[in-house]
Order: sequence, then C-alpha cells, then structure tokens
Amino acid sequence: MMAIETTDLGRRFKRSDGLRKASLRVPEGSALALIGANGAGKTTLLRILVNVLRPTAGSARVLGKDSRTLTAADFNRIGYVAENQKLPERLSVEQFLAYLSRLYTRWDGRLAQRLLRDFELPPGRPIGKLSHGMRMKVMLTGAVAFRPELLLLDEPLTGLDPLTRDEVVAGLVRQADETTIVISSHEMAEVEGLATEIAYLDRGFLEFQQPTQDLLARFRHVTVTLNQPPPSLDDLPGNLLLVQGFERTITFIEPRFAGEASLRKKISAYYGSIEHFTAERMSLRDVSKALLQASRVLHP
Amino acid sequence: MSRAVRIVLLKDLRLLWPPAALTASLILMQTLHDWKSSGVGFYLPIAAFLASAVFAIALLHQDPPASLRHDWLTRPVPRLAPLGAKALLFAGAVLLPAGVGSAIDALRAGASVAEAAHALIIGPRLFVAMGIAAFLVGTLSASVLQAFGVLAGLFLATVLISEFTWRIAGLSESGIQPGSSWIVVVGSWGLVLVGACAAIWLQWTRRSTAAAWTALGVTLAVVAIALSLLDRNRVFALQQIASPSDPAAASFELVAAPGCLETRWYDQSSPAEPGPGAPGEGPWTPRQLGKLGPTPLALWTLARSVGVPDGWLAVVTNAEGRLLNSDGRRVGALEPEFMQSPWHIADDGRAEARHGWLMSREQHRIVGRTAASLEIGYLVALLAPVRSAQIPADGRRHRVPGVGLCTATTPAGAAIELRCFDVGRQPDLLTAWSAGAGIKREVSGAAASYAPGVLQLSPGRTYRMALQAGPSARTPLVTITAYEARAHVKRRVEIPGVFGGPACGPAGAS
Repeated sequence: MMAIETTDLGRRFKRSDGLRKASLRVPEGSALALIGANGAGKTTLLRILVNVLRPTAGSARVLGKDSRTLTAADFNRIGYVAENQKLPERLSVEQFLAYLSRLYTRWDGRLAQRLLRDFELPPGRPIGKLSHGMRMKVMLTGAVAFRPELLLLDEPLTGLDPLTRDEVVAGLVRQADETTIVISSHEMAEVEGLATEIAYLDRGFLEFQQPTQDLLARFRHVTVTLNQPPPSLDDLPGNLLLVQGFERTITFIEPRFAGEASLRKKISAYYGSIEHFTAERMSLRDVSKALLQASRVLHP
Repeated sequence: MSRAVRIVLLKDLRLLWPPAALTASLILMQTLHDWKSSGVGFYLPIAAFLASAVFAIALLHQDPPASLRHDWLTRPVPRLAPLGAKALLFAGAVLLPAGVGSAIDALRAGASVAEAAHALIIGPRLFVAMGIAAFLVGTLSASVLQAFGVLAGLFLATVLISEFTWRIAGLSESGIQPGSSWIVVVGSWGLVLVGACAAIWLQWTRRSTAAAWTALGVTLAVVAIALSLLDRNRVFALQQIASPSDPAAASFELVAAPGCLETRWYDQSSPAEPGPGAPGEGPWTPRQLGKLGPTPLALWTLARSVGVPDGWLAVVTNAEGRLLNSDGRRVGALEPEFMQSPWHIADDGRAEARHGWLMSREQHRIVGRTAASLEIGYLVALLAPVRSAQIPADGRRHRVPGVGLCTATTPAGAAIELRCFDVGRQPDLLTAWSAGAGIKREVSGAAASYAPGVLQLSPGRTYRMALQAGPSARTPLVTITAYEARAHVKRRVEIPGVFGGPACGPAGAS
C-alpha cells in the first residue's frame, strides 16, 4: 500500500517550472529522503502533497486521496513541518500545544509532554522569542504528538546545531515505527540513519528513487593509480561523475558499481595496467554532494 | 458555532485581545461621549475607524488564506472556519461596541426603545462597510505590508470610480432624481458586495488568489462601466421599471406659468448673489460658472401642474433645459442649478416647479438672432396619499398607524420639530404641515425614496422635519401624510422666444 503516489506531477510558476513530471511512490511505513539542490523542487513537491499548492499537471495521491481533495479531517492523519512555517508568534509553547490539542482528535497529551521534556522546551515562553532550533522542536512536537500516519518534513534540520539535530532525528527515529516519513534535508549524515528510500530531484525533475542501501551500494569513490599518465580523461565512460586526474592518478565517482573486478577491467581497457586501485563506499552525504556537484558541472 | 470556529476564535482572542480591547474602547468613547466641544472630537472617530481597519487586517493575517507558509493551512481546520472565527471576533470587538454605543446614545437623546434597537442595528453600518473592505484586503494579501498596498489600491479605485465615472456620466450637476439614488446605491454597492464576497469565498474555499483577484477586478470594471453609462434618463427609465404605472397619471400635465421669465445677468463677483446651498435660487457650481464666462445670464422657469388626481402630489424630480431652433432641433443646453428644488406650493395650493438656469453670453447672442425657444424636460413622480393623521405638538409620543411613532415639539418660537420612526416597509414620502400656518404653507418632506420594498435596505427609518407653526395655536396640530408613488412620468414644457415672449429678455448688456 502506498502512502504517497504521484503521477507525472508538475507545478508551473509564472517564470519557471517548480516541478516536472515527477512520479514518486512512497510505501507505507517507509522513510523517504528527498535530496537535491536549492530550487530542485523539494518544497514544491511537499506543498503539493499537503494541498498548500495545487499541481498544474499530473496528480498526487496522499493516503489514498487526491491531494487536491484533502479536507480538514485528513490533516488529523498528516503532520507537516517546514523550516519557514509561520506560527502564532505571540502564543507561548504551552498555549500553542493546547491550541493544537483541541484541533486534533488523536492528540496524545502524554507524548506531547514527553517531547516537551525531551526537547527541553520552555513551556511559558512565546514562540516568537524562541531560537530557530527551539521553534523547529516546537513544530516537530506539534506534528508528532497526534501520531500522524504520514509525516512530511521540509528542511527540518536546517540551521540547527549538531546536538539539536541529533535530538530531532532521535525523535523522528522513535516515530518512524508507526509513521511514513518524507523528509527533505541537506543534512545527509543525520538523514542516512533514518531514510529507507532516497529520491533525488534536479531542476524540477525526479531523477531517481531508490532504497537507501541500494543507492549506497551502487556509488563508489574510485581512486586509480596508473603505471603511466593517461593521454586524455575524455576517453572514460560517460556515466562516471566528477572525473579528475593528476599525473598518473585519476579519481571519479562510479554511480553504477557492479564489483571491483569488472571496474578494474574496464579502466585497464582504456589506460593499460593499473598500479593501485581503491573503490570506497560513500556516505549518503558524499553521494548527495557528488550528485549536486555533477549537476552543477552539467548545468552550470 | 462549530468546534473549529470556537478553537480559532479563542486562539485569535488570546493573541489579539489588547488591540481588540483598544478598538472597542475607542469606538465606545467615540459614540458614548460628546467630544464636539474638545479637539478630541475630530480625531477620535478617525482613530476609532483606523484602529478597526488595522485590527481587522491584523486579525485576518493571523491565518491568511493567500499565504503558503501559515501553520493553519496544514492543520485540521476547515477552510471557512478561520473566516467565521474572525468575523465573530470583529463583530464582538467592533460592530457590537458601535451598535451598543449608538443605541445608548439614541436612548440618551430621548429615542424610544424601538429606535434604540434600530440604532443598534444600523449604527455600525460604516464599520460593516469598512470591515468588508478590510476582510477583502486581508483575504487577498499574503503579508501585512501587501495588505496596506491593496488597501491603498482599493481606496484609489473607489475614488476613481466615484469621481471619474460621475463626471463622465454627467450626473454631477443635473444630479440623480431625488428618491432614485437607491438605483445607484443598490446597484453599485450591491455589485461591489457581490464581487467582494465572491473574491473572499474563492480565496478561502479554493485558495485561488488569481480567481479572487479576477472576480474583484471584473466587479470593479462592471461598476465603473455601469456608473459611466448612467445618466438622468437611464436612471429614470430604471425607476419607471421598478415602479407602478397608474393610468390616472395620464391626465397630469405641466404648463408654463404665463408671462416673462425672471432673468438677471449673474455677476459672480457680486456678494449679492446667493451662495451655495440655496436651492431654487441657484447657485451653480464653480465648474459651470467657469465654463460660461464671467457674467452669464441667469433665468428662472416656473411650471404649474394641471390634472393631478385629487389629493395626489406631483414632485418634479429633475429638470433639463434645452434650447431649440425654429425646426425644433436642439441647439444648446442650459446649465441647471446644482440643487434642484423638487416642488413648491403656490398660493392656490397647486404644485409649482421653479428652476434656475444659466446661459452663456454666446448662447444669448445666438438666441437673440434666431427664432429659438426653450424646452424644459421634467421628470415627475406622482404620489398618492395612503395614510394621514393629525397629532398635537405636545412633545409626547403618538402612534400614527402606518407611519410609526411620532413626536412633535415646539422647542423655540414658532418652529415645530417633528420626529417619526417606524420599522419595516417605509412610505415613499412623508410630509407634514402645521394647521393654521396659512394656505401658503411650508410643506416639509423627509427625503423621498422610491425604492421597492425589498430593496429598502434599512430595517427602519427616522424622519426629522422642521415645520412652520400657526401664529396663535398654543398646541398646534401637525398633519402627517404618507405617500406612495403611483407613476413616474416625463413631461415637456416649451417656452416661446426662450424668455416667455418677444418682449421678454434680460435688461441691459450686463
């Protein structure tokens, strides 16, 4: 059963396409990380999923319903947190959570209190006087305490100090058992432990969606030392990313790694004998960074 | 009240109680105390009005529907719940104090409980209009800064529509027929209200800012076009459609009073000329005077009613002066006085229509050389009495069937002050006169309105009239008569030789 299913989803703005032909499937219980550069379409996609924006092409189904027909009752099942979300600034944390508790039919007061304690939030302080990190924690508490079936998080970790990031991610990991999570973030190190699937957006296009382990398995950072300097790096196969060379050593990212032996064989076919060869596994952060850099090289 | 509305209302109240309390206090202070004697009297209503507008916009911008970032958009809050909550809070903080203040003020001025209840309902009408505008602005804008920009834009559009279209429509001096202004008011404000509500509804339910703006823009354009197309004849035609047409009106005619017209070279610089606010004796607006040169010719026409069914009243609602050549073709128009006199009762008790006109020197030279004539086109309302009653001017409240509660007082000298109030369907015209004031009596009539019953927007009306009292009566009797329009007709009167005959005309060169 899919928690989210989009088909050729698009959103056109006055001067640009925010999202183009994005077809995404998020199974129930999974945690999907949306990665991509700023302006890639992550926020647009999430806003369409919560019906804040209407798509101009294609369709999106969220918890079995067309996103355009989501009603107030459906938001009892969907939590949404966005970095730039506007809250009632003059309400205190306690008043805000009390306001939310009256809105939600499935509000879990104990969970809210526990999160309040775990996040060390000051109950009496107005939201407008909280730091960015504290505000994010308040939003997260408000989005988690009614035990949503789907949690959509748009850059929830941006601007948080490492300790706060860990706390927030720990809170999400606790929630992950019972909730489908879609998170867009640049903080890949933290997301890696949470995400079961990765979707990569580039300039409005959904380039791929893959289970995290599969993605990490197919990316390798390769360093090759040849016996003699290569005549030209242009001879290498086109799918390699970020190819660089210095004297006898070349480095690149292999996005379709299928085993060390076959890759060695392929390189030898181009440049002759290899003196030294390493193919290192990459972290999600490095994969993400490599994809962004490659995108910039291809679309400066 | 739904649960969601209650929750949002409580949240907004918690957030905005200080400005809500300040606004309510300003409104109550303004309505409950007579500040006229102090300098505060000028600023307090402005402050109360501005505070209400700012409060309304601040209220809307707690949960603006045009935003993409506000928290409520992704909460289990039905789309129209915030609008309902904000309308209720606005009603409590602004409309209720304005209504209560007006009602208390009316009671202190000696009004009846019914009148006070009426004041409670109609007292906040300006705040209602402002509230709709502020809600519209708050709905269409995504930020408070943008809201003030939209507010300035709407203000500019209103000024342009009301001023510019008014001028090109040519209604500025000839005016809308008294009693028919409801056509413009109901038409234009009705359209604006429908457009504003459509824009608000589209934005809150569908969150379609483009559609909401389109609805508003189309409405303003339609209002501007409709107003620019309106002239006296079109307004009159609409009035005829909305009114009954009694066959008895066919016998009614207007005839020119015999003799020469009264004429005078109108010296604008002379302090002897009547100033503004003297209906029936001029004046003319600076624009008209500027158009006609320094010393135009002023003339006064007099037409008498003939064949008015017994007891009926003929009210000239508008007059237009045209110069015709010997072939009967129109060669010019006279400038009408700005405030036209609706009617006048002659010594024999018949209604007379006396109107002042201006003619330029150039026009005078042309009519002197040709066999021209003057044609006056009159728009006339014929009214039949439906109820009449006499009450003594004893300061006590009397119930007059079909008219309501009336009080006549003689506070000073010979003047009688009459005040009547009723709820529900109002007569088209209410007149009163004091018995014994002589046959050349001064009939006081509260402003007529020929609006059909369903379009009488106010739930009630208070009439105030000042009457001349008879010289001897200790407790004069006042006759109050309610009239209903039976027909609206057009009549023409031709005056030979422009001034009434070959021997008539202005004396001297200037």
